Amino acid sequence: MKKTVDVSLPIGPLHPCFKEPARIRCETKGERVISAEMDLGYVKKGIERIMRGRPWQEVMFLAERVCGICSVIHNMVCIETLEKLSGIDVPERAAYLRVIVNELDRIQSHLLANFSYCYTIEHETLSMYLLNLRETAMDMLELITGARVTCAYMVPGGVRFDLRDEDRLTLEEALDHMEKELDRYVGMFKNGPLIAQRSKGVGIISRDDVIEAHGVGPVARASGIPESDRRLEHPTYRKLGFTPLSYEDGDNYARIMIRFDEVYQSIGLIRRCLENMVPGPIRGGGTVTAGEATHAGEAPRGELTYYVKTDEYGRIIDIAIRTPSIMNIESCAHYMLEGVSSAADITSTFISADPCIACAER
Amino acid sequence: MSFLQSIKNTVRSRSIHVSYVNVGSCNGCDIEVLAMLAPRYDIEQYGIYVHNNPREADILLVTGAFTPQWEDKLKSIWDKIPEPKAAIAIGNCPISGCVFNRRGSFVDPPVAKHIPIAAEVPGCPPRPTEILNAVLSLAPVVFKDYEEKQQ
Amino acid sequence: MVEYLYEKDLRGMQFNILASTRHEWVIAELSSRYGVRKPEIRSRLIERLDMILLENLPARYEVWLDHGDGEDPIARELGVELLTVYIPLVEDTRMQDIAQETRVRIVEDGAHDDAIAEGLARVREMIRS
Ligand code: SF4
Repeated sequence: MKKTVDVSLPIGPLHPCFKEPARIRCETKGERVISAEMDLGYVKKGIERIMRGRPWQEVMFLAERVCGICSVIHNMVCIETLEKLSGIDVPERAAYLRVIVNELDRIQSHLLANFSYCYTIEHETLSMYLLNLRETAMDMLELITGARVTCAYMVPGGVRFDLRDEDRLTLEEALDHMEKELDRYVGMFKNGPLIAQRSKGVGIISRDDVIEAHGVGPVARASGIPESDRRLEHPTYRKLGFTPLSYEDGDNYARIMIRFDEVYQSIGLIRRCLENMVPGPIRGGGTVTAGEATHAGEAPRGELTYYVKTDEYGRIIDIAIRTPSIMNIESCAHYMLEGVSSAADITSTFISADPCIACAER
Repeated sequence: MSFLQSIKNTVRSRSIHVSYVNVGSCNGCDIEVLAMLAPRYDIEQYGIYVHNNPREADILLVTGAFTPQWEDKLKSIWDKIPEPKAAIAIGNCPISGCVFNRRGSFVDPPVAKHIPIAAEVPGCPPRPTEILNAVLSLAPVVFKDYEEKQQ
Repeated sequence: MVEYLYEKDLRGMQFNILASTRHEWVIAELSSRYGVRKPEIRSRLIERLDMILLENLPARYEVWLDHGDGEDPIARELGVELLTVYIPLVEDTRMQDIAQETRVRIVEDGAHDDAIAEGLARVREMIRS
């Protein structure tokens, strides 16, 4: 196939808009992008390789450090896989606490993603508001788990700390505060005419393309695939009556809006958890035994799958992690970027898919 | 101290431009650097500006255990930063390799092997306030009377 | 002075991507399906795909297992969409030609297995070339 290419435009690895190093090589005609390719390898650490042969107590902490933004879900899925393969049950209160922490993590991750997007389209006011709101979520995470990032809250058979009653009140207050503030910011985002021009109809990805590239998470849900949400299969979320959201358009605007909507949804889920929670034990105990299991959970960016094989002492023999960013960056690089009409839209489209290079490369 | 030097000192104390580079971190430290931008910490009251452009920067924040891809690139980024300059290692990763420094992984810490590091902020990840504190306490040491020290 | 700073040889990194458990599985499946040795598959993948597609190989292969090549059993056996859409290793038009000719042969001779075997052999040549 012969292509008329004017310019080959490399973006990255160090770029003011990117949080992490990655390089997009775009072939452009004028400013219109014909095709894009990604170069990775700037943060490849080989975590899966060092996980092999180690006891689960070490792997648990390594799993968290696959990705610092969504460390809670890596912790959760890793532990749930270990529980699944050795048949450990979780007390009810611990299950609710897990959901609370996980949803707080989702809130901060989505707010960070939307902050990056607003920053990229140069709406600095809104982005700073969002970043400040994220600090509230981080405070709550710290209140419950004791650390802002990489908190290692979940262990097989339960969680490490209980939620005290006075902390519960603080949490409820913080949720009210977040909801109130978020109303304002979402209003700003929806009604800003320039934001709409920069976002609507840019970087469209159709439903079929998402399926082909195996896009997951907000990227898939913004293109009309609500059933891609793995929370539907999680027993605790089922108990809470969780229903996924979706948008139809599949453009940048839909991807940002679905994240805002999911923040509201997460706030609602946490409230429902707090209502349903009854006092009880938070740690049941249990030993990790030999086995083999695959388990998937919904990370802020989409479906996260762990395949783990252990021996009878709880050592990890084999592990494979599939992170959502791989699929999302791929659908972004090969489908969304095609036909994007200016160089400024390349970065904003890329950021709207919420790429997490550390996840993708591990 | 010459008059010119005192002007330079005053100006530099209120304008510290920061750039950050991720040489293979888990992202945890990166987002703490980003969180430092939040209005809560209000870094601009100290005259710190974060824009990720090495050519304008005075201070380079390095996060992450060193991956082989950066071998030539980090050096060239460092060379692009105009004098006076300093690099701060954020987190355990650039200092020791943190959890990744095991047999079989691809990383090659510490970063100090590749560029001169002026200060280190340990923690996995350090809090934004700690990073801010490091920048603020390093800046006068490096930038004050820079020209006179050179002579 | 212009330095070609970033144009480093990235094959080592690409090879590292292909070394994970799930990638090994995909490569083994491809290798047994088309009878091409594993190192050869790896080197073709590295030559023809960019890095994020390489990372995404297992997911794409899984999607093909579930949804690929729709209702058409012959295309499924040859892996038409597998090699053109999901893991684009070969040219679309030539792959379609092979599938078409295989279909014609099956209708004319009725020798289903032979035709498929020959089709696979031609696909193998295409992967190798
Ligand atoms: S020091 Fe810890 S949080 Fe920071 S990059 Fe390394 S592993 Fe991640």
